[in-house]
Amino acid sequence: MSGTIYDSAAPRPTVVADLRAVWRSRGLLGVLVARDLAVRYKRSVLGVWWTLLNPLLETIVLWIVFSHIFRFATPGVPYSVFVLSGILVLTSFQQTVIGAAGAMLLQSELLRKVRVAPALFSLSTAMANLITFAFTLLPLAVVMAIAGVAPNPALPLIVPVVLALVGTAFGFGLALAPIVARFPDTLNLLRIALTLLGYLAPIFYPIAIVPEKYRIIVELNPLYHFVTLFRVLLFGDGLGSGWSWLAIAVSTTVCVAVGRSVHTALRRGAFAAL
Amino acid sequence: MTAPPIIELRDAELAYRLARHGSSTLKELFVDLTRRHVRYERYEALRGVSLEVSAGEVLGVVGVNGAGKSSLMKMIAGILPPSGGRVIVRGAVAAMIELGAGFSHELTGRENIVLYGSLLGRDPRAVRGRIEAIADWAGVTEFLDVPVRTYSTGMLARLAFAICTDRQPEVLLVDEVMAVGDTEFLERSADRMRRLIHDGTAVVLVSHDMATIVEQATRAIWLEAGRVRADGAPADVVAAYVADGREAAADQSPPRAP
Repeated sequence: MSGTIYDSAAPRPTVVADLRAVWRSRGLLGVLVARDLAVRYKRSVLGVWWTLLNPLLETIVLWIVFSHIFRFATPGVPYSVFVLSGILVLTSFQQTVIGAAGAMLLQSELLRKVRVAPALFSLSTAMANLITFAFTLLPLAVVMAIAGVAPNPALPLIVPVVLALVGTAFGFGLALAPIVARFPDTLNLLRIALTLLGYLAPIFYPIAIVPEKYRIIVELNPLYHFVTLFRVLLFGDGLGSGWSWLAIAVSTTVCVAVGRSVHTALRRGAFAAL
Repeated sequence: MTAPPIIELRDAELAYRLARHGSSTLKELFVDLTRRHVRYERYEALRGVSLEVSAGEVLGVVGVNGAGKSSLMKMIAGILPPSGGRVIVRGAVAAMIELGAGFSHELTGRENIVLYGSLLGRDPRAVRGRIEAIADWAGVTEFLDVPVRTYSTGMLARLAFAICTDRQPEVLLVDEVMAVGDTEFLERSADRMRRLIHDGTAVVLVSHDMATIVEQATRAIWLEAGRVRADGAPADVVAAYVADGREAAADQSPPRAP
């Protein structure tokens, strides 16, 4: 006996039970992450290099537009480093939300045939994005070296920041996954919302150009704190503001907890639609 | 003390709430909502189904299309949770419900064996050690490193069956899958199924081929409009089902000219 018992009348799993289930599925998660990365790059000639090239090309475009035409002053750091670090954070956030939210729809054919928790697909997408993010630090290092920007000695602290960033995005996407499975066009709305969120955060422009009275809107955006901390730890001084650390800790905890509850509550309804 | 049954359904019900106008996009839903158009209809795929299947038993399921056979399989597989009653399945389920299940078309046969095996709840390391044996049984050894999108239907069916049955599952669900294979595959898979049943796997078999049900099942149920109409020895249930089908056909056919 493998000891797995399925009981439809079993009570809803507790947080601890869910965590244990994830731990027990670690083997499967590894396989899913590997598949995610393999499928992503199998069909393009440049393969994994696209991940590195994409933010670089985007940076070049923005660098031309914003530092030669509009001229934003980014104090203490060349615009190229400023904008590339912002783009990496934003792209990772957007891709993780979209990936986690679309996972159930994407795997619907499989979910109709195999009993497996759909949340695992959202989780594996998030984990694959984490690995991709690690790769994109490579072009960032190159740009920083060319621009002559010295890294902050506190650099290793970007690890918890990136974990929290992907965690927040995962929680957000997890909540949306059953909704997207039921109404696929939610993804289009989500893309627009994420673009808006990106423009409301100081990704392409320094916070200094935002008038004082609107600054509260920017500061309420969790992306603001992620990107600010990331930049400070990358090329600034010190460890970043305590408020930002608190903000990212709170946003990660809330997003994952709420995401899990919403996902569990809506999952059943979404299955009937699959 | 006797062992509890492997599959246990108590008054299980599967009902969907279908939107009458079936808005399948958010846009449609909003349009429907503003027009106060959404009315929901309850559609009951299964009602009051109670049954038990013990180790080594083969339950045959017969019924016309839409009687709830596939819903029953998906409920036992744990894919569709019942909306009422209770379903308990004690052990791992290998479901051969729709073929090609769980394959990623871009990935190679080798990668898919590991992926599908892990999805069925096995440790990927254990599956990796079985790749050659599985491929050999399915006859795809030469194509192990080729993406499965190049596989034929028969190859996919054989590979899926080989992965599903590589480890002894407590429950095997078989839904008409054998229709795609050639004679040789049919014989080998029937052989493997016999061995699994002998070793204690509980099998649920859906088929439109009455001979298969009578030959292979140890018990049969007849589903009609989501309810169990008959439950008993395969020969009896099949006879009743066939007789009912003939009657219905006779009722519907136009009266012949004298």
